[in-house]
Amino acid sequence: MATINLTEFVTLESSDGFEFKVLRSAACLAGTIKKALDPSYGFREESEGRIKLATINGVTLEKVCEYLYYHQKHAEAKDVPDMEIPPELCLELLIAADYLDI
Amino acid sequence: MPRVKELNRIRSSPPIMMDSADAPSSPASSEPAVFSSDGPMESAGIDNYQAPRMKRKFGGAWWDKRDGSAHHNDSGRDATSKKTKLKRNIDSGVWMHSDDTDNDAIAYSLPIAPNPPSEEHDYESDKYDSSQSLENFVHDMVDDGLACHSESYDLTDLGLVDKDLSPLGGLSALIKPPLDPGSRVPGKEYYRSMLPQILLNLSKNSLSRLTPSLFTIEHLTTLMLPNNDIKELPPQIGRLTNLTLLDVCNNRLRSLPYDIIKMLTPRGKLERLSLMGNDLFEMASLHRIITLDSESLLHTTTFERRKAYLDSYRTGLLEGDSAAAVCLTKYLEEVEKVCDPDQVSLYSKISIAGTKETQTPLFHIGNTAPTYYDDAGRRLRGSPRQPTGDGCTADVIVKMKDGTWGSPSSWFSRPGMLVPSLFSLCGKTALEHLSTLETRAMMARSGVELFNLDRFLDIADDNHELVFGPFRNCHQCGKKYVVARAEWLEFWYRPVNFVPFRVEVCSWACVPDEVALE
Repeated sequence: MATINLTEFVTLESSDGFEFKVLRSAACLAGTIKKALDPSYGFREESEGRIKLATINGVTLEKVCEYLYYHQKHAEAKDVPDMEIPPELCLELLIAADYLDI
Repeated sequence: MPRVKELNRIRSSPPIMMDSADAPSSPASSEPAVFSSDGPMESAGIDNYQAPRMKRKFGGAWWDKRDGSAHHNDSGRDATSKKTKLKRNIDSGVWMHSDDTDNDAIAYSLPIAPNPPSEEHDYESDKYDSSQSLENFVHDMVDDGLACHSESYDLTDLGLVDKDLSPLGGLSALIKPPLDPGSRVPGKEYYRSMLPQILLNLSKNSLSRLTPSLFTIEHLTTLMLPNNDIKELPPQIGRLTNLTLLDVCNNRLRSLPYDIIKMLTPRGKLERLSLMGNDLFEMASLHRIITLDSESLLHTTTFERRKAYLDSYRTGLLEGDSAAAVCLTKYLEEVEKVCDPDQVSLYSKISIAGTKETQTPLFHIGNTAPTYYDDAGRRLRGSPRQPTGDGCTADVIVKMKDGTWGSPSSWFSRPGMLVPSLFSLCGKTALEHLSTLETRAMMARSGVELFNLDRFLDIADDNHELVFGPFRNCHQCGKKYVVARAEWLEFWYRPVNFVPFRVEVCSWACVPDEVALE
C-alpha cells in the first residue's frame, strides 16, 4: 500500500511551508514538474516524490493545484468552461504559470 | 335685480379705468363677491369678457417677509404688481381643446417632418469652413442632422481621419419623426416606422481603422467607404445588423472578418457588398473561370450541361487551370444541392429549393489549412502559414463529393491540448481588471521579467488598434480572447466573387472538425 501511495501522489511544497499532495498524473500536466519527476534525469525530486517550489507561496500554489485538477478533469471535454481566477491573485499566478509551464 | 344694477355700473365706469393703479379699492356699495378671491365686483360683469378682471391675492405668512419690505394689503400696489408680473390672471372662459383655434399651438410643439414621405432632406457637406476642425464640423453636422431628422449624411472627400468620426455615434439617437397630418385624418402613409434608415457616405477620406462609435449606430443601413485606406475591417462591423449595403471599393483589404458572414443574405440583411479595387486573396479569379468556361457555363446552366461538366472533371479531362476548374466544379456541386436545376445562373439570383423567395446564394467553397499558435501568439512549429503576399500562395482545400483537392502533402493535425492554459486564463483575468500599461508596471515592480507575458501584452496592444480594446471575440464560440490560437481563410462564393474571410478562434478546440481534420 505504502509504495502505491508514494508513486500515485506527489507532494508540492510552497515557499511558506504549505504542502499539497497531488495526483502524479495531474501534477505532470505542468511541464516543469513533469521534467523534475522524470526518472531518466534522476533528480532527487523523483525519488522523494516531493518538489519544493521556492518561488510560489501557499495561496497561489493552492490555486495552481486547483487548475491541475481542472485541466485533468476537462482534458477530454470538448466545451471547456473557463476556470475562475481571482483577480487579486492573477499576477502571482501568471508568474507561477510561466515558471511551471502550464 | 342685481343683474340690472351691474350692467348699469359698467356703463357708468368704463373698463379702461380699471387698468390704472388708482382704481378705487373698495367702493362704498357693492355686491358681495361670489368667491372670496374675486376682486371688487365693479371690475367686470359676469358676461363681460372684454374688461380685465382682477383676482385678489392672499399672501401667506411668508409673503411679507420677502426681501424685507413690508407689504400691506394695499390693493393699489397689489394691482400694479399683478400688472407687471402676472400675466395669466384673466379667466378667458375658454377651456383648452374646446374648439379648433388651439390646434396650431399644439402642433408646433411636436417635431414636424416634411410632409410628403418621399421628400427627404439631404444634408450636404458644402458649407464646410476650413477654419473649423474636422471633428467639430462632423459634430455640428450630426447635431444639425438630429435636429431636422436627416437620414442621409454625406462626408465625401474631406480628408477625414479616424478620430474625426467619433461624433458620429450621436446618430444612434436619431429617430424618424411621425408625420404631421395637419388637421386631416391621417391616411395610411402617415403610419410608418420611427426607426430611421441611415445612409452614411464616407468616400474619399483617409480612414484606416474607423472608430468604435461608428458601430453603435444600430440603424445604419448604408455605409459607403470607397477610396479610403482600410487594411482590415474591424470585427465590430458585425454589430451593424441592419446594414443592407456596404461599399468598401478601392481600399487595401486582403480579406474580410468572418463576422460579415452572419450579416450577408440569406443569413442577415446585407444584400450588397462591393469589394472591387481591393487586393483580396483569391483562389481563382472570376476572369480565370470565365476563360476556362468556354461553354459559358456561368451564364446559362442547365442540369444536363452541368452534369456533363462535372463528369468531364471527374474523368480527368480537365487540364491547365485546375484551381479555376475546381472552383467552378465546387460551385456547381453546391448549386446542385440547393437549386431548381433549370433556373440556375451565376449572375442571377438563385431560387433556393424549399424557400419561395429568391435569394442571393452564399456557398462555402474552400478554406486554407489552419495555422495554430501558442499562448504567446507564436506559430507552432510545422503548422502551415496563412498567405501573406500577393495572390493566394497557401493551398486552398476544396472538399468535393469524390475527394479533396488541394490537400497539403503533410497535414499538421490539431494539437491535443484543448483546455485553456493557466497562463492565458490569468492573462485574461489581469486584462479584465488592468490596462496593459498597468500590468507592465506591476510586473516591473515585482522584479520578474516574463518574455511570454510581454508578447501577450503586445498582442493586447495590437488588439487595441483593430478592435479598440484588449479582447476579441472568437468566431466559433463567441468567447473573448486576447491571443488567437488558430486562424484560417475561408472562401465563400457570392455573386460575383469568391470572397476570402479570415476566421480566428480562441482555442484549438474551437477549430471545427471540417477544418481541422484532413
